[in-house]
Parts: sequence; C-alpha cells; structure tokens
Amino acid sequence: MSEQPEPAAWVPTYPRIRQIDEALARVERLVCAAMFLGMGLMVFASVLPEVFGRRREWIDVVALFVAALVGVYTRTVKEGERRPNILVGIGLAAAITLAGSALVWLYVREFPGGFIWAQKVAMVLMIWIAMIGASIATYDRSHLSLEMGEKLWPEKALKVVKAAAHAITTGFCLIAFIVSVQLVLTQQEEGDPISPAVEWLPNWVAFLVMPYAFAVMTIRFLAQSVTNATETAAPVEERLPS
Amino acid sequence: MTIVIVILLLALVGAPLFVIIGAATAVAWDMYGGVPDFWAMGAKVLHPFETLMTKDAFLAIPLFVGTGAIMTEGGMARRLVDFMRALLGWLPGGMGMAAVLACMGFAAISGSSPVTLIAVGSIMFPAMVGAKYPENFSLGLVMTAGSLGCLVAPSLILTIYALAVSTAEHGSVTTEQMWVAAYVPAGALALILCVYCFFVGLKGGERDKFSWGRVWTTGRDGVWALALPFIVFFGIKEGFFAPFKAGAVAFTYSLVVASLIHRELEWKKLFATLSEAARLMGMLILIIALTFSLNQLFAEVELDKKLAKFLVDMDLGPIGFLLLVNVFLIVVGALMDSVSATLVFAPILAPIAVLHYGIDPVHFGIVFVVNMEIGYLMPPVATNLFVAAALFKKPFGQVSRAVMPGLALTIGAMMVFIFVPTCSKGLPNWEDTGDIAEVWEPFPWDGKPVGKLFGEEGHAGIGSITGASAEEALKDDSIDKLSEDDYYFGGGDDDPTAVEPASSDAGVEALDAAAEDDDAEDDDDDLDDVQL
Repeated sequence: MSEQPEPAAWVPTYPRIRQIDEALARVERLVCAAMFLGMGLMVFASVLPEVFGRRREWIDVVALFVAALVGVYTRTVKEGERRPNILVGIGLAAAITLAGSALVWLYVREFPGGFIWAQKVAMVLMIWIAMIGASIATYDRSHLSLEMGEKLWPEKALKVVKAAAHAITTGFCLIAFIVSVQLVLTQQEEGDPISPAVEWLPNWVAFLVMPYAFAVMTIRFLAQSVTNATETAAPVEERLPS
Repeated sequence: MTIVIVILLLALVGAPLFVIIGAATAVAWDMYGGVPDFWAMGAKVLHPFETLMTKDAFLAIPLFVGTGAIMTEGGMARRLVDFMRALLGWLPGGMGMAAVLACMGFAAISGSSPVTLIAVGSIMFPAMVGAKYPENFSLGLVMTAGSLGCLVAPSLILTIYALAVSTAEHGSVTTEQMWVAAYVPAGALALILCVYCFFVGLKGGERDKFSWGRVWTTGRDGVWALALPFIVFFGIKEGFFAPFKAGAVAFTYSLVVASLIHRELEWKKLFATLSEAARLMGMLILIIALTFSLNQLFAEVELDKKLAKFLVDMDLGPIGFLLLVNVFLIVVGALMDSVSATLVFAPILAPIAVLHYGIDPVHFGIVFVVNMEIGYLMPPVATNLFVAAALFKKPFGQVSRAVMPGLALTIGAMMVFIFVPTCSKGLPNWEDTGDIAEVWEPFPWDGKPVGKLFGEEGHAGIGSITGASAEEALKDDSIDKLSEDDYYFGGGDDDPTAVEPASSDAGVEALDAAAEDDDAEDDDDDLDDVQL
C-alpha cells in the first residue's frame, strides 16, 4: 500500500507582521463582542420602561415566579451538584422573583422614559460592530464572493487570479478609505449630532470607524494579494458562514 | 454593457461581492448619474452609508444574528432538535419531520437560513444517515428545511425586504405585515416537506421508539428554546415592543438561558460567539450599505418608471408579470446572494407590481421572499448549498443533485402561493377584520387591486401601503372623492364612488388618481393608458 505523502508544513513568512495582524484581529474580536453585548443589553434596557412603565400587574409577578421555578428545575446540574428539593426550589424561585421585580420596579421608577439615547447609541454601536466585523471577515478571508469564478481557472493560473482579485479589492478599499475620511471630515465640519435627542454625540463619531475599517482592510487585502502571488499565503480553514 | 463587463470580470476573478456591487454602482453612477469627477462618484457610492443611522429597524438584523449564534453555541438548538426527535422520530420519516420542525423552530428565532442549516443540519444529517435514511434525501431535506428560515418570522430576508421597499413611493410594507403574512406559507412548506418525509420513510429508514418519558425529558430541557418564538410573537402582537426591539428581548433571553440555565455559555465562549456574529454582520452590512447607493441611483434615473413602462408596454397582465418576475428572481437568486438581490430588486419590482398590476404589496413581498428562498437552494450560487458542501464535506455536484426534490416541491408550492393570495393575505386579513369570512383574498386577474385601500390604522393589507399615494390623491381637488364621513357612514348620492366600504372602490379611485398623477408628471402617453 502506497501512503499519501504528507503535505509540506507551512512556514509563515514575515512572522512579526503576522503576529501583529493576529493580535489586532483578537483585539477587534474582543471589542466587537463587547459592543455587541452592550448593544443588545442597551436596547433591552429601553424595552423595559416601554413594557412596565405604566403597567403594574400581579400576573407579571406570577409569570416571573413560574419562569423562575421552571428555571430552577430545568437548570443544568453539573457533576457533584444536586437539584434542590421542592421547598428550596420554591424559596429560590421566590427570591429570584422578588429580586427581579424589585429591580424592574426600581429601574422603571428611576427611569420612567428609559434612556432616550439608548436606541441611537445602539445604532452607532451597530455601525462600529459591522465595520470592524468587515475587517475581521477580511482577516478570516470570509467575505462573500461568487466562487464560481475561481472554479473556472486552471490550478496554475489560480494564484495569479486570486492575487489580482485581492489587488483589485485593495484598490477598492483604498478609495473607500479616502472617501470615508472625506465623509468624516465633512460631518465634523457640519457638527451635527446623531440625533437632536443625543446632542452630546456628534455624527462623525458614528462613522469614524469607516476610515479605520477600510484602512485595515486595505492593508490586509494587500498582504493577501502579495502572499497569494508569492504562494506564501497561510492555509485557510474551510469557510463556514456562521 | 460596461456595467455587465465590470461585474463579469470581477466575478470571474472571484472578487468579494461587496467589491462587485461597489464597483458596478460606481460605474453606473459615472454613466447615468452625471457625477462630475472620480471622488464625487466615490462619495455617491459610500455616503449612503449614513442611511444606516436613519432606520431603527436595522437593529433587528444584528440582534437576531446574535440570538441565533447564542442559541447555537449555548445548546438551545440541540435541545430543540432532541425534543422534535423525541416527538416525531417514531413515525415513518419521523426523523426527517423532526429536522423540518426543528429547522422551523430554530429559524423562528435565528432568522437566518444558513445559521439554521448549520445549527440543525449538523445534528440531524449524521443522525438521519446513521438511521439508514438515503444520504441524498437527508442532505436535500436539511438544506431545504434550513431555507425555511427565510419565511419564518423573524426572518432576516422578510425584515430586509420590508426595509428595502420602505423608501419606495408605492409598494412599501412593514416588517410586522411581512412576518404575519409569512406564517401560512412557511407552515404549508413545512407540511409539504413532512409529507415528503413520510413517503420516503415508508420505504426505509429506522424509527426511534416512542417514549413519553423521553418526550417529557427533552421537552423539559427544550422548553426555553420552544418558548422564545411565542414570547417574540405575542410581545409584538400585544404591542409590548416593536419588532426590532423583539430582537433585543430574544437576545437577552437567549443570553440568560444559555449562560444561567443551560450553563453552556461562559464568558470566553460568549465573546467568541458574539465576535463571530459580528463577522457575519460585517459581511452583510457592507453589501447592504452599498446597495443603498444603487437604490438612490435607480431613483435618480427613474429606473422603476422605465422598467414599468417596458413591462406595461409588454402588456403582460398580472399573471404574465408574476411569472416573468419569478423566472427573473430565480435566475437572480441563483447568481446573487439573497440579501443583495432583495435590496437591489425589491424596490424596483414592488411598485410596479402594486401600481400597475394591482398586486397586493404584502402578497408580492411573500412571493418575492419565497423566490429568494429558492435562491438559497438554486445552483450555482446558493448559500445553503455552499454551507452544506462545506459542513458535510460533500462534493458540490452531489449537494446540487440532492437538493433537487426539495427545490421542486418548493417551486410547486410557490406557484400555489402566487395564484392564491389568501395563502399570504389570509392571516393579515383575519387579524385586521376579526372576521373569518374576510380571510379570502382573490387574485387580481384583471390587474385591479382587490384589497382594502383605506384600512384602519395598522391595517395589514394594501391600505397602509398605498396610504401615501391615496393621500396625494385626496389633496388633489380635481378628483371626485368621498369625505371620510361619507366613506365610513355612507352618503354622497351624487357621487359615483359612494359604495359600501367593503367594496373599497373609493380607495381604488384614489389609487387610480395617484397613478394618473404619477403618469402625468412623467408626461408619458403610454403610461397614461394604464388602468388599475
């Protein structure tokens, strides 16, 4: 039986640059995740006063108690733990209900209109998440593309074609970077806030992420173009839209 | 022609989709938009990014994407599949049915077809093959069922469709209308797939043993995943929160359940999950934002009116129009991804369908979205096929062949949805009137709108959609019309439009007038002949 030869191990070129790129991608992921969490919770916080601002119904407390009780008894029990007995379970559910109700009551009493700015700030976060996400997608080489194009080329020509595609994309991102800088400068000159209700946050801050993202994407696509042309690109794991 | 060459060249070298759309848009602005220089052209392409800040509904997209990611990583999807399997796995084809219903349940929360396919398909496909179901059947089924995510509220595509047409003068719909209208088509498609599973299951495939104990155990574990769609649905229906805020409720709910109850989402995993969701957002938003520019160009060059004139000149009638649109959208769906196809073509086609062929905008929206669902499955550019090929490590050719039966069933169902508007409009009509007799919605065979034009506030049909055009018509003194009191309480003996409100002729008059008003502005004799 003939054994398949092991593919040669990939040796990274420019290890320092790759390390910096990887570190930047990690920071981007961390920032994005934190913003994502903040955005979701911020919008949720604006929902609470809408639902409970003028509503004081015992049925809500009962529903919370039932949910807490179900939660206590469906909570995953890890090794070495035991499910609480019925009395402890009811006690726990009551405590959760009391704490939850009190928190919501206090919150809607202190902030009956919610936070007017929450929704708009959440939208700013959305733009930041999306643009940094685009930068991460560049790092992961997972931007959507019509892959049929790649399938038409012979193996030998493929590296040149890929390098060309990345070079074109580099050019596009570079132009986008310049235009987005102009956009932000114009917004800064105009000095408008993101919304009349959120005067403390200028519009240009929301879009400041565009020049950043396009700049990083330009550099990353340029690097990918060079590494493709010189056949030093890192092997890409199979891409899965998530 | 230059635009087509640019698109083809970029597609051939495998450039990212956002570059293809951006470059094609820039060339189109240069050719038709009369931009003075290169940088002005760049500004035309990128400055519409500001639109992202103007529509709150956009928040629904990241929030539901995040929810889907948390549900997948936090074990909620797995529990949902386990419960469906315990419930249906004993029937002939029961595991297939479980896959279909789990896809529907999961899609109801994640709002995304590829995410559904990954979350449910990665569990159900190996299980079905292990239970001796034919491999191609299993593969095709999970792909087709995964694409149901398009139609089950809160679907991304339904939301994006509503956003895409929101700026159109005619044909706009709200996200809620689309969500409600999609329930019956989604349920019907799921039923068709279940029947298909049943017949395949009669020929082979192992069955699970039914056990109430297993149903109880898996149901107890899956209760949180099962409850979420109901919370979202009733929260919106009872007016507790807007659809995009439902995304925040679903997000927080899944976060609490996955981390505190299922205990499968510690901080590190949560951050990894959310950063993956952000990456997906990054892939989507660039394309979405670039198509804003394309839409602005279409509006500036009045492409919708030119296309309308072309289609009206062809004198297709509503049937011919819808069939042509279907063929067109299936081709588009096969070549473009569904999000960008929706953003580009929905604002062009919806006004024509509504204004010139009397097709209800909600009905047209559902037909459009079902086409996009087919696009997810139609080779060569089918997202679900790519995902399945990569996920299950199968050749693309096999994946393409495997999806054919499911594709045929979906196309067949779509034909029914097209010619029986009740499938999409029945539920909104019922919700709107509270009268089961009002559920039936006839097809506009003669090209005249059949819905109610002056619906109450929040009417889910044509009324709220053509409100802008109707108001324009009401302001026009040259048009005979009923006063609001006459309309609701009768009267106006000398008024030819004084009819029962249910017949809605007054609204038709108003729409007619609006259409004629538009045509007059165009100063276009051909369009003046159009009768609604």
